[in-house]
Amino acid sequence: MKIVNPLKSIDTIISVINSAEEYLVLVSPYTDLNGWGNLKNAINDATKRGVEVSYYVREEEGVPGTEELDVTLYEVPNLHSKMFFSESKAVIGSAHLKYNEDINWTYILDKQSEYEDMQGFFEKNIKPLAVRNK
Amino acid sequence: MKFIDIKENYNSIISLVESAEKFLVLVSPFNDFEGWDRLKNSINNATERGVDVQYYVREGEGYNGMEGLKVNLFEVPGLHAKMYRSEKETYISSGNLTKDTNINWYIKLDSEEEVKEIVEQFYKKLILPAAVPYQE
Repeated sequence: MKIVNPLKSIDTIISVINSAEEYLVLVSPYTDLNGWGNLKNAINDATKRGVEVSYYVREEEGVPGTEELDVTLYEVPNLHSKMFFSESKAVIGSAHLKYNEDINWTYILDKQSEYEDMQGFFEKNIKPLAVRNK
Repeated sequence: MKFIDIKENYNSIISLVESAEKFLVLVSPFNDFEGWDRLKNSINNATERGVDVQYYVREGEGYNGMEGLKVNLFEVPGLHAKMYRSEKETYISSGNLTKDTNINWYIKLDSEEEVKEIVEQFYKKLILPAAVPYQE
């Protein structure tokens, strides 16, 4: 795993989104993409090119802020983890997808074992609790 | 790096605190120790046995949720990252030190390179320069 220069955090997440060919999993308990057009566009462009985009927010509290996203939205009780991955790349961070200047760190998981470890956490602790938002 | 089994998240932090001999750096923007006496006592015991316990919270939080804790407290504007570290172990996490049922991951950094990276690129570069000793 490699820590990302804080100035490059969002570019790194957008790079994961832009390179996705099959699926994207975006786990951000709270979301506010107001003023963050490039991220919003990247997510919607992924959907347009046929990528299956699943977006996980915290139950009830996470839905505001995702209205303009063309994604399959899921709610998860007590969700507080953040992770963003495609079929080939993964990023974890301390930040929600909120447009602010908070101090956060972001990591690229650049080893297959790390990717699998993260995916295992997701499959075990997040996915089973997810309820599709209608 | 290794994701900790979610059931062991809290035990990992308590173990980190209890095994510290020289220093503890706890970076937790928001805190709530109510019902979490074990961790609270572990931190205070560390201070009592001479461990330098540095605790970083988000600006404006002060001792909110951590009343009675004996630590060197610092406030950091805009702090939202979490890191828990001693001279022996280092964890990063999506979770604050709040006793709740939130779904969070804790990762143990198990190589020197990973530890050096978080200390140099995050702690020394972003936290220390912005940290202000808390004054009541």
